[in-house]
Amino acid sequence: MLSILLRTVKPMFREVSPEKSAPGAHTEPSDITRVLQRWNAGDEGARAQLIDYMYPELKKIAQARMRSEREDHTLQATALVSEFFLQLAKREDLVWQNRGHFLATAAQAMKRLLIDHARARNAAKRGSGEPALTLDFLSTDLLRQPVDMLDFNRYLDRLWEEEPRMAQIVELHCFGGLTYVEIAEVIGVDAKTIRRDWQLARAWLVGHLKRAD
Amino acid sequence: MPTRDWDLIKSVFEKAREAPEQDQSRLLESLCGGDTGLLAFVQSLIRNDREVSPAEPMCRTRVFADQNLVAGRFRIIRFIDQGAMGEVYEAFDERLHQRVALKTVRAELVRSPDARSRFEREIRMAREVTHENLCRVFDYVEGDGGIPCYTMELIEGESLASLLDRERPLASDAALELVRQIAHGLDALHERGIVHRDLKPSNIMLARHPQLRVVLMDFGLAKLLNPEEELFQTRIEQQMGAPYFMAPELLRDEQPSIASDLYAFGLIVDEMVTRSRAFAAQSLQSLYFAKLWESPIPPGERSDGLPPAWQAAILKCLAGQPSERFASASAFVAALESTAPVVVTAGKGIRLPAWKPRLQSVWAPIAARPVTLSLAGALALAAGLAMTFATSRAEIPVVQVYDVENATGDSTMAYLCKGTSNELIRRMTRLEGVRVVPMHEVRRPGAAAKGGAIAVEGSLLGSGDQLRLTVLLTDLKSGTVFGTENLDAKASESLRVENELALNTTAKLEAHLVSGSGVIGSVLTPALPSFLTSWFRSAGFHPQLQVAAGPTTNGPAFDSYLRGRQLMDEFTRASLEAALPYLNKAVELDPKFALGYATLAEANLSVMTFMQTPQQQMMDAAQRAAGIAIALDPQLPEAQAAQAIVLQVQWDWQKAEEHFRKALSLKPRYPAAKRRYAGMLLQFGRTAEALPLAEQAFAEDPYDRGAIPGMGLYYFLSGRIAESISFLEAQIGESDMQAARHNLGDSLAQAAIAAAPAERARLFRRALAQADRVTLIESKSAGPGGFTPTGDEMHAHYLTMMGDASAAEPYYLKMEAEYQAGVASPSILAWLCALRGDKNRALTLLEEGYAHRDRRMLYVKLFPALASLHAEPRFQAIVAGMKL
Repeated sequence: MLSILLRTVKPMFREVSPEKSAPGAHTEPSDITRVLQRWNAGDEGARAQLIDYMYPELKKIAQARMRSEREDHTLQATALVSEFFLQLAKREDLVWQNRGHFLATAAQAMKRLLIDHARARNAAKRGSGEPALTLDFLSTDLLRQPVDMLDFNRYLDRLWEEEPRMAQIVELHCFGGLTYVEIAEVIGVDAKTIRRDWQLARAWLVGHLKRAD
Repeated sequence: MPTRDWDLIKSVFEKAREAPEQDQSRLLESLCGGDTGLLAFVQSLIRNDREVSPAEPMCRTRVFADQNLVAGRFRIIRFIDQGAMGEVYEAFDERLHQRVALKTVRAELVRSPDARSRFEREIRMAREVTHENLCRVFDYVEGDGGIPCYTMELIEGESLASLLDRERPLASDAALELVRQIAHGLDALHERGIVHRDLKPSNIMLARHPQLRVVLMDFGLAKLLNPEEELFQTRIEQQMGAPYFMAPELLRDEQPSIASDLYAFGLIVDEMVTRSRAFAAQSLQSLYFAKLWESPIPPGERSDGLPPAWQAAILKCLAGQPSERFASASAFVAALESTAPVVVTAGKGIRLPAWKPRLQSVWAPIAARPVTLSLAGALALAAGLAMTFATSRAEIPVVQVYDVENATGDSTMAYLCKGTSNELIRRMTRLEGVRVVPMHEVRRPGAAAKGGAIAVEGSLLGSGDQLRLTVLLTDLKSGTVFGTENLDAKASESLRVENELALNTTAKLEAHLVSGSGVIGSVLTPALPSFLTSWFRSAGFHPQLQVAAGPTTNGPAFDSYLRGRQLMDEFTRASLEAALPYLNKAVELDPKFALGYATLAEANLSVMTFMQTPQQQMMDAAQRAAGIAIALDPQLPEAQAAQAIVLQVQWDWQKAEEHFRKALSLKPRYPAAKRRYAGMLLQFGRTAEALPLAEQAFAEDPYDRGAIPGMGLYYFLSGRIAESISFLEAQIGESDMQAARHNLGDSLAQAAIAAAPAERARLFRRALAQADRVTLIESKSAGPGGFTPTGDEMHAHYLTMMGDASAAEPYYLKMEAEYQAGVASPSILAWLCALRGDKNRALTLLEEGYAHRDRRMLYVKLFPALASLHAEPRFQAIVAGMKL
């Protein structure tokens, strides 16, 4: 299903300018290819490094979108990931062999971005002009305000302790935009179970967020 | 650490959630079995869940209410639909009293004044396009508050998307009619250089009354979305499902092209005939991943009984590389329509049912286990392929294109016939894997039998303004007609005639060929290891079939060009002079008509050949036209060739060579350019390069007016007199071929000089027989004055060479008169003067020819007649001036 299509690796990299890079993102482009190769070869430790690489790219996209989104002051995480994905797609030097791996990694980078953004926004207090980020799978009439990302992350962490699979599903779904079927592929459980777990996790999270509100 | 028993919670939650609401609390209580903590916890979860479960989507406020009057003219009747770009209403145009569709454009898509004016421009352009299978766009209007809208034809029916929701899969024969009409619409767009960009089932409307009519909507408008605004697209597209139809190159930000429309078309056809989609992806992210890094799931795996031709054709549309897809929508349809297997004879007397299944069977076991493929296995595979290809290469089909017969009885229609044949040739020569042989003018009995595989013949019938063009495609081996193309048109619609007829015919030809051969490019190549792919290419096999777009979109300009071209081909002074105004008009009507300029440059140079006094004005005109042609379209081979011949007469050989090379790299099968390039190489003694090139040119287009005499001349000029004679005699047969006979006579006379006395007289007699024949031919079409300059020149030359001065004298005097009358060029007379020993006169005439940039001067060093002048300083000055 997740078939492998090898592409020619071309020595063609976009510069990641140092001033725009986030802390920890000192990865040279050529390293990224090597990291990717290591990961493709099954080295799970390469994953954290990949997130380091993805992060500044994702941030650039988010900043560009925030500038153009001032009217709404909200930003959907999944739209950002899609956009991010397209940016990566243009890089022919990156050879992704596994769809699920990629999406899961992108979801983690996304999560980190949203949390950092929320921290910065809180530090500047409201009215900073920075738009709030929303999770389209959770924004309902129930939660009139956009989800507070820090609260959300706190409860998500608690969920990790309670039931890791449910937390992982939330992460993949909310930050990576993956559907039940795709999450099922990534974590190797059938889609029906994923749906049930998601519904339960959502109900649990909403209950906590409502109280916090 | 978990504080709760999540397995239990999950099971209770799931059961309670799925139960009917009235039973829920009772069920919950029994499931929790007295555990009040658990009960309360799950109850709160169920409550939360009910609140967050998707409610009814909020009603959006619409831009217009019923009965609103938009722009003082359009009365809103009802809301129809909402799309990616905005909303669609049915409205009544109170001025023209007709119902129309009125589409709004979301304000954020046209926020800037720039975007708005771009949008207006697009609408105006789309308005120009009318076709049965395209939705007519009427006008750009602004609603209250400047809401941009446009009106278009109201199509009453359903979209293909809703048909497919209801009925899927469609049987391939049922789908075919829809597919054909979509293709017609797409071709019409592409012919005008418009890329649809947003082809998808919801953009295709099916109107069923009075008969089925498929209509493409919203073409070319998707590009209006600003690059920065495209960021918003992800969300919108998610709702519309459009990214599924997006070609992979568009994800990489490459320019949309006809090929990206064909990709979408392939996915639409795939969706019509299968039960599922070619890319299994649910989220946008996965879809992107699949498009960029995975292969489509073959439609045959998702559909029972799909004809193999359909599977192959669909996969060809879905090729990752745009260049590997079909060249046109009609080529795709033609491939779907063709089911006839092609039989290719393999070596050792084994007959195989086409090499397509054979290759698949060779490939299949290896494809299944790519990891275990050993080097030996790969070599064996390559060897197997080599055998197969050797067979198929030997059978490169020869397509003979005959001139379209003028059956109107109106000789002024000849230009249209000629133009149609030329357009057919122009398009077909772009097809890879075939050899196109134009059969200009000659319809010699038995010509078709010479290695021809496919014949293309046509006729023009009708009178006045009602014309019908018919083209037949015949498989000469089986004698069956496999394609016919009819087109009814008015005489003034020559552009449409050329474009549609030639395009459709070429598509049918392509399909006929692809039904046997295109499969390898689409099914196997994407998965082939690169060493094999490159080997395929080096074996001369690349199934990209490319048909160039039309040279102009301006009908009158094209018509004028055709008339000029036709006159040019007659190549007389009068016809060339008559051609100039037509060609000038063509480029005046369409100042971007590169081919028009290229032809104009050539016409000016050709006229100069006939002029007696230097014509700086024409030289400048030629230079200017060639310059514009090349500036407009440096990729146009004709522009490169025109530039080359202009540079030639400016004696800038090095640059001329560069342009000849460029022309030939752009269009490897370009015999006219090859011939001229070969001629130029001869002057520099590069015979070893020149002759093979000339031979290629001849093989590619043996029936061109210049092909046979040109080949003969090159043999003659390179001193291969015997070959020249045998070649020309064999080719001429009993036909007229004035220029070829001229060269034959020259060769015979030259051979005579070197021959033994007995043989010499016989050869001169044969040379003079050619001179007689040429005089006869010329006298048939001689204009005022009854000049027969070529015949006279031949007689004068041969008789002088024989040493019979008194017999030569009257011809010499006639030539002088012809020279004075401007019928013969100075260099022609110079040749004779040199033979007569009048070196001074010869040199003066040569100097004149040099100043006139007479094209015959190009061979000044090569003609044996001028050998006696080589030591003369004046001759050397000319040669130096020409940088020879």
